[in-house]
Amino acid sequence: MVLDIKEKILMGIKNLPTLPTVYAALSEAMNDQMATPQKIAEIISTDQVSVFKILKVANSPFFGFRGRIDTISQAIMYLGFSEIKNIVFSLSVIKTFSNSAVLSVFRPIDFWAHSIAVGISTRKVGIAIGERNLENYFLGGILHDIGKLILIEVLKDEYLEVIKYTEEKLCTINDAENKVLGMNHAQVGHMVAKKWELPSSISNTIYRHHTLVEVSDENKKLAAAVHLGDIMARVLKLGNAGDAQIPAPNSKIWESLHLPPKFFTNIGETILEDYKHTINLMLVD
Amino acid sequence: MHEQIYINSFAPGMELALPIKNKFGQVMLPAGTILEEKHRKFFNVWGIMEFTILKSADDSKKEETKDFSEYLSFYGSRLRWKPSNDFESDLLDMGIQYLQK
Repeated sequence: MVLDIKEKILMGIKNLPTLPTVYAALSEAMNDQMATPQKIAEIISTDQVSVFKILKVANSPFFGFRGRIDTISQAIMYLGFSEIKNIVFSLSVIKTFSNSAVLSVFRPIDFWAHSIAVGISTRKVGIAIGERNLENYFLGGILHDIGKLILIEVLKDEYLEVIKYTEEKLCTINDAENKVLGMNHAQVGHMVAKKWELPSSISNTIYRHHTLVEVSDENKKLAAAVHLGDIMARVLKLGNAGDAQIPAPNSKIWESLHLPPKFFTNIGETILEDYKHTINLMLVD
Repeated sequence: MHEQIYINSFAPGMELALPIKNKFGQVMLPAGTILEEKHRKFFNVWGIMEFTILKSADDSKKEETKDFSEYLSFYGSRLRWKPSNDFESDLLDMGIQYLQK
């Protein structure tokens, strides 16, 4: 039976691996209002590799507690439940896809490097606009392109056509996907987010990070920050987004974000430093 | 096109785009005044720190072309749009500033 592209994608999403048990157990415990920090720390501690990585990430300059966090309980105390859950989730997703299909022109490690750069840039935007709930800013950036990994995994050769199209037409990968596949990574990523039951703020941000249309008011800033974070990572050439283009920022973002003047030239150096550090922590075993 | 400038950028020959008014709204210098050296003292005496001048279309075009050609020579075919506000220029300046290091 020959499946068409859409059927292949839907089949790929249906067969997606579940996330590591530690994340599932953690999500369940965090939904329980009676869960204590000790209980959460106990769950995380069942996976020693996770503990080691979480402590490394929690101590990174990115979160501002360089070297002061020794235990998972301390990490929860300093960073909060949600931030820890998101670090565990980010590490889980990277681990789940560590054996993804490799395209010679688009390696998973470069894909993750771009995603981490977008996560870092998005969080910097969140800080600059005075956002108090910053935990989804890093995760939103990390996951914004997750649909591309599924498309590579499921389609392989057809996806090489997409990349070839971006090079020939000098267009973004999103436009090339629409043209070649009739579907794009934002739509696929949205389906993945639904399957993994991610919060609607994250799934909507994944869906709308290019177009920013029909984003609810409460998710507007997060979606705009991820949209901008993606462009910042491209301007700074961090990782590989699948195409070399720097898309024009959506004109609506400036009025929804209210960034300070000279934000980009003032923050560039910190982004590069955080990127170098975080890449080593999250992508190197 | 108008440009607001500070007193330290004062130069004879500039043309006021908007009148200089005192705190009662009375016009002290009308729009269209071509600034001369004597006006520098006038600004200092009255404590006028900024004013708006007229930029000729040629000046604006020259500046825009110069900036955009700098972006184009740095980013090449990766860039297919022109910055339309200070945020967008600053965004592209970030790449030039840090990737050149």
